[in-house]
Amino acid sequence: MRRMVALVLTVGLVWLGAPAAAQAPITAEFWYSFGGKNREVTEAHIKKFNESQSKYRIEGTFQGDYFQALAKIRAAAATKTAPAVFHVIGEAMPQLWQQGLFENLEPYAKGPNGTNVDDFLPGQTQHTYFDYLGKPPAPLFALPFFRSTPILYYNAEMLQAKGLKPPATWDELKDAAAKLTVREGNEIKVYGFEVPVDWWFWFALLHEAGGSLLTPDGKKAAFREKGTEALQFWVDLVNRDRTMKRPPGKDYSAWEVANTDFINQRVAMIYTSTAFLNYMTENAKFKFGTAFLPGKAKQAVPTGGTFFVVARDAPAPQKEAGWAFIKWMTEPAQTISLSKATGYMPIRTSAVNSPEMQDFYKQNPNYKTAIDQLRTAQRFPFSPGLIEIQREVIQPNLEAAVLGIKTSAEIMQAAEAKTNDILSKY
Amino acid sequence: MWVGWGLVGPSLLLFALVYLYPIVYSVWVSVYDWDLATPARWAGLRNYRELWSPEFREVIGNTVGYSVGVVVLSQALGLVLALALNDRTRLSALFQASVFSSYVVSWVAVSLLWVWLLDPQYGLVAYLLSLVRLPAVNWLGDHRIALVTLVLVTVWKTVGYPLVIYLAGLQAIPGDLYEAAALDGAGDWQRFRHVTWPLLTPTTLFLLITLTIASFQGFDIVRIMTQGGPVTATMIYVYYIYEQAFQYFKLGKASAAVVVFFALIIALTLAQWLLFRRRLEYTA
Amino acid sequence: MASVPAAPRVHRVTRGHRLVRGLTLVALAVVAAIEVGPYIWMLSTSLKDLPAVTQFPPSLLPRPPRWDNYAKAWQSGPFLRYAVNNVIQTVGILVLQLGFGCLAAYGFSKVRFPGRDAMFLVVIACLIVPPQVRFVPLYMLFSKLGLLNTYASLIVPYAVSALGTFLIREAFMQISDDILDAARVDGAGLFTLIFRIMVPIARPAIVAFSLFSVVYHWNDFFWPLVMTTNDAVRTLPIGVAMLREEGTGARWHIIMAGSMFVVVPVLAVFAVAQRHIIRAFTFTSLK
Repeated sequence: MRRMVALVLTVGLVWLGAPAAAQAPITAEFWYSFGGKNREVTEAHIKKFNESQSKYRIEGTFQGDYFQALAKIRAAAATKTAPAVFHVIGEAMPQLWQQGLFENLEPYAKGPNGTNVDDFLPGQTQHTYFDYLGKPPAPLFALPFFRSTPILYYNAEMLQAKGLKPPATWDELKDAAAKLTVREGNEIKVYGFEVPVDWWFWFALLHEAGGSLLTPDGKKAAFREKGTEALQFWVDLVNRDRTMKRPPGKDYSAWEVANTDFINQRVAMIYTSTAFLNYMTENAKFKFGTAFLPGKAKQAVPTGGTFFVVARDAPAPQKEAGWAFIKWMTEPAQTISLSKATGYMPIRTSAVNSPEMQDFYKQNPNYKTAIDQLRTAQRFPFSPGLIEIQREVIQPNLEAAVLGIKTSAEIMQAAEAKTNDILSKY
Repeated sequence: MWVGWGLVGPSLLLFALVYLYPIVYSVWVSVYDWDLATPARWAGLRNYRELWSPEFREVIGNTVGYSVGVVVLSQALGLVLALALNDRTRLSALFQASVFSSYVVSWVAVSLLWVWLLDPQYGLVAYLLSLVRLPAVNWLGDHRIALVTLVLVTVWKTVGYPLVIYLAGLQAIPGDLYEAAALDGAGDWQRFRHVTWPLLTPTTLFLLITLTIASFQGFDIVRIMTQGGPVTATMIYVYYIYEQAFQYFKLGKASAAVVVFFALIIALTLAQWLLFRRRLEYTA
Repeated sequence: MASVPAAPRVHRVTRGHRLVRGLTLVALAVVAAIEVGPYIWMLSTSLKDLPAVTQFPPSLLPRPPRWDNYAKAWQSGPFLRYAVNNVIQTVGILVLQLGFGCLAAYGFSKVRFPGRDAMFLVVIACLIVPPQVRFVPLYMLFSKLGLLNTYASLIVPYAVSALGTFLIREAFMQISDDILDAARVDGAGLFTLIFRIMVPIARPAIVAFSLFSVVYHWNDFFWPLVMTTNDAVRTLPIGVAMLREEGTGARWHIIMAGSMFVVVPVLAVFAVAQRHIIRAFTFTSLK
């Protein structure tokens, strides 16, 4: 009799306790580092996720620009208060992975609430973003979020007026830029070409020239010769031909100038991210087209944008919530709505092939360019030194060549030495 | 004696906590290599040796140049404007308000605006220059003049403060002194030199110190307008520290820069103070 | 005795003078235009729609003025909470800075005690520590104390001001001891002495410093950003920063509208306080 009572009580307690535990949603934080339209779109999706289920609740917060956010994440990791989910640029991932900031997502991906990793678009995923340098690949720790490639935007009306078609090679670009530049006396009213003097585009040019960043084992720099060629291409366009404008400012400030110039029809062709396609479409009062980046030895582009990661040091339930969120965000339905709202690419093959997107691309062919261009996507070496090479060696020094302070050969030589220094640490 | 400590004690405790602790922390971190994520490694004096590079010397030069430019120009301009606006007319009040308005606006808002206005191709400034047949200037993109541009924008934004302070200082000067000087036959310039200027010494000192401190901490304008560029032409000290810490995650090197910064400014502030102290006693 | 207007009454109006006056007026007009022009531009941009923003040559008066930009900016985040937080933060900091500052200034200027000058040098040393340097250690500290995302993390780090203490001390030092002795003879206690007698005399310095502090902290973007990881105590400048999209110049009109939320309150306060500020300076001490 007593055993029966005990059994009933136990079952009763468990039964009573279970719903109570399931009622309070597990809350987790998602730290992001963009404002404006992207922020609005993201917040709208976070809200949708929270409303679509009651087990988890994600709170998204703006944390400043990319570097401020990363600094806070590191400080938070040091005090064990890192958010469950955040996003990072690809180049930073090898180092952060090595420093133990990321949770290994393979168990989650294969688990009951898993996701079909094979459906991700080639070129979008962690494994197709990186070249693992002959070593076994790192486990899955990142899912693609907002991903992009650089594309050529051109003012269709200006090109048509001069009887030009969008350039497909460096020489054609040089030629077109010269024909499209409008001068009035000594002043340039309209530039033929503009591109931020930035690591991302230099990386494209490096590979287009047939070069690569590091040796196949990732131990030494390999970019000196072709990197010089790439940089010199810009130097000549700016200083010798005077058909290219170098937008002032560093990092995104320069990108902003290039975009504004294009919208204001102060430049005929620019390289920038496909991420700004919505912005251009909404604001350009002229017909414009998009095309692959012109190639030299071959056509080549890097991919860009950010990946979702889960913090290793967050408490387990929060990590579970974080995974549920990023899995949901990378599902075909969400990637379609995110892509259409921003201009970033959808990350799933099934999404790209869906009738909805196929229809969308028929009506907006400009959006298809980046997707098609993925077949020329280049991989980044999975080296912890990658982010340092970008931020300390290449990015700050490209300007000096275009400004005529140093020659491209000098800069690349110094860059090579510094890169080898950095790599020797790993 | 306990009264003394009782009065300054609470302040000192807070100062120790929120200012000195970070300095001590910086001194401590400056002898390590630390990136916030992995455990720190001992570096000894290597960060200081690494710090002493041509780039760093340029940073110091830029900071001093920027500071001197801002302090001298904004104070001089503030004084000149105050002298011109020193009457109680409505028009003056309107002028004062317009000049002061840019002081209270946030840096973020105005910096973005100025980037746009200064665009050499189609900014408003280029347009106005073209109206008087002057060539466009690459204000922010030319590494030879970028720092001057930042000085000018800073002066534009902050001149309202010395203006208000000088105005107040001027209006505190008794009118009878001027009348007496005029009766003695003193002209405008002499009145200024022998009455106005000496009596403004405390105000000038006040502004000198306030503006110097503020300009040495200049940060937002660089962050928004040039990010230290082109290359390192506008890299000023605090931005340099920020970049080392937040972008390169070299907290050791950033901390070494902090310690050096600290030492330099103590020396500078003491020098300024001692230099002007004697002048101050003259007016007491 | 209040001072008399400083412009001397006795002078001969010559043609030279008129010319100088004329040129001065023109120069002032140019200065005013340069000073206020960009600010008017902000206002003008905030009322445009997107095509008008990117058009060149730009127009001044948008037709029709898009007041809904303000609504859009306001709705983009919890701006009301940001505004309230901004006020709490700025006022809280000012009150503490003045409170601690006056007490310490008195101690450093009018009380003799061993170690006084050494301690004052310590205060001076704090004058030049910028917030970028203080962030990491204080973030860690407040995080460990569980005080992140609280008003304390925004106010306490600025509760004492080396500049304020220094300036108020300078002002206090100018006050003759006779006044203090007389007050003590009249039975004034310490707090009365400091706050009822000395502070009014030191009003110019205190007002000048308060102006500096309010403008600085109201517009401070960096500290509230790095010390907070959620919206609980965030301030207006962060709200405005969130309107920016990096890489595009997209929504200038909304960014400028948002910026106005930061700007207008301070301008309003200044407009009201302007006369008081000027009057504060014309009060001279009684001998």
